[in-house]
Amino acid sequence: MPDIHKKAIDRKVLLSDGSQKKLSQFWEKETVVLVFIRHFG
Amino acid sequence: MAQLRHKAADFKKAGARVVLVGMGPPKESEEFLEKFSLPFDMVCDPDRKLYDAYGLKRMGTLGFLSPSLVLKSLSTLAKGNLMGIPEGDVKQLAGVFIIDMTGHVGFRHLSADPADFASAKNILAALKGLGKKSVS
Repeated sequence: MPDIHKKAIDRKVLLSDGSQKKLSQFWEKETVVLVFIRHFG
Repeated sequence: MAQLRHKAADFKKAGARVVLVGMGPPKESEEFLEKFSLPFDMVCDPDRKLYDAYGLKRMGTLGFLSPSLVLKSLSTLAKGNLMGIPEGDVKQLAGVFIIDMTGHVGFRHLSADPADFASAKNILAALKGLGKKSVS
């Protein structure tokens, strides 16, 4: 689990449009708010 | 989700990009984004590997009976917001991380129960406190 002030965990991930990218590509140009949701509904 | 949608412009103004992580496959995730008019990217994590890597918690069976969850549910209903039928792992709890452009975590909130989540207002306040900047 990434702690405050520690490096975030980077992974290659699948996006909803079917494409894949590394999470770090999101925070290359701007701060990211990564929101883990509970469920759809 | 409604809070995040309503504050989408504020997040953009703050130079932050909201990325959702869900447990559904791409098709369901796209439908979810469309259903709630969410202008965000969404990561699909059906195996919950990213949830586990980031230390997101799962609640026990008795968690559904917690007073805070019951109160939150009643409050939601009182506001006229009907809760949908949950899809996915109903025991999975939520969480929020703010990650700066150096890849470091500046803010973290791991939900202790389903009624415990970081509000959009609190996330925006954390962003302001971190003094993040966008280069785009």
